[in-house]
Amino acid sequence: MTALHRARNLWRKSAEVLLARTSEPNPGDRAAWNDAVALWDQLFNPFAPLMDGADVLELGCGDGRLLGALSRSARVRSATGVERHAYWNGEGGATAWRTDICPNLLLHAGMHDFEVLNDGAFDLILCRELDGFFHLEGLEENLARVYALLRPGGEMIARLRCGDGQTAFTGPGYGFMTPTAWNAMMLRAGFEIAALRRVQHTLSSQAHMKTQLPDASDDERMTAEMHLHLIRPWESWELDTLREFGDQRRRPKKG
Amino acid sequence: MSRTDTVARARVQAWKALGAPSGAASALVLDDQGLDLARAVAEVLKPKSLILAHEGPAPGKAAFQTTPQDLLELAADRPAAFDLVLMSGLNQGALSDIAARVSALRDLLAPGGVLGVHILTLGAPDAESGHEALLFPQMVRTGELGEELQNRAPLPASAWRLLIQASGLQVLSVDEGNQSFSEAMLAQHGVRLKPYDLRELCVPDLFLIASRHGEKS
Repeated sequence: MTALHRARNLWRKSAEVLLARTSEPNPGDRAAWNDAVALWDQLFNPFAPLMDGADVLELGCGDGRLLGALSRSARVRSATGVERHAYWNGEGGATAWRTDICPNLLLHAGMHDFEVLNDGAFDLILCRELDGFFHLEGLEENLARVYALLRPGGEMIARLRCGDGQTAFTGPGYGFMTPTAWNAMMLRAGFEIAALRRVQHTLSSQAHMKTQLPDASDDERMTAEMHLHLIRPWESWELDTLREFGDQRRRPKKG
Repeated sequence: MSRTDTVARARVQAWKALGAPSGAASALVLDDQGLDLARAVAEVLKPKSLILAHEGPAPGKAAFQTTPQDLLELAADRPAAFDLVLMSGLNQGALSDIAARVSALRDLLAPGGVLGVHILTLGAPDAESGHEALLFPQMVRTGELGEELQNRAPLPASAWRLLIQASGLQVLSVDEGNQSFSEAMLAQHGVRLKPYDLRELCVPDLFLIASRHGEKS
């Protein structure tokens, strides 16, 4: 079997899992579902997150189809999405779709809904473009909030773009974030970094980055984006509470 | 000469060596060392007019004036008013606050004007805790390593350089500090340092000179 056949079979298998029972006739809709599968395969699936019975949150969920597909795969317990606009309803020229066909799917439009989500409610958080979803204003607080939304041992997979020194605090990586700066921000928010993948700048951008950062290492200046697999560790006070709970259960009952 | 005088003078000499101009028509100093730095700027760079952002009045016979306005107020009131602006202590605060302050510094500069900054980076050791902030970032978050470290932006040298450029300023020259990590530390804490680029950590601070695009009027 050639590599191409293997890749095609892998795609079919993913599509079967992710697109189970989707048969909308609209070609635009079908293409959008295929995009969701491709995004899953390229960005999130390589980190093999734990999915069975998980409560999943996607920040910046786009049209929500990726979460819709996950909720229909019957592996996850619930799928929740937050986006600045309701693209699933056709906002912004997106192809609308019927979210009610997906069980346990909840999509929220607007940042207010992100702020009122319950702490410790999710096992897995996905973020396809963190620096596009969160503005620079309040970034530290928002990362702390994301950390708080995860249960101990929970996972987060995020794509983080790096800056090129050209856009004034609004473009990729707010114009200035480097791989080390992103990692430092995530560690300071409390996460542990389980795995990291880099995507390099294009050749033309690499020349620009060499002039912007002449003294930096190649890893630092050539990385256009990072895909981070983050773990929300057990805090020491949480372990203490668990131990105490275990001690109480083991203690012999009186009488 | 006191220790703070010496530190201030060394700072100004570093900016001068990187190309900060002497005899600027109008200069502004924003610095936590305040009076000491303004005195050193007056002596070393001899600007024709010098203002220090400082709450109190200037001492008698000082070669500079003071203003109680802070950076953001000055940028709003006096855009493009200065040929030379010098600042340190830029690294404290949230990233959005820092970005706003760098934009304000740019706005204060006349076209062709020069900015000199001194910045402590992610790799800068703390006087009390050394490099513990790198090894135990969660202790920075909880404030266990002190307020100064908690408020220090975790940006390495390259990110600072990009931040200045992203604001629309052109970086002209940079003098990066240098430090090394012992073999013992790398062996003992290599896993904790792995998420960082070691070359970035070896730059604890930087002096940087940048200019605003445009011809001098």
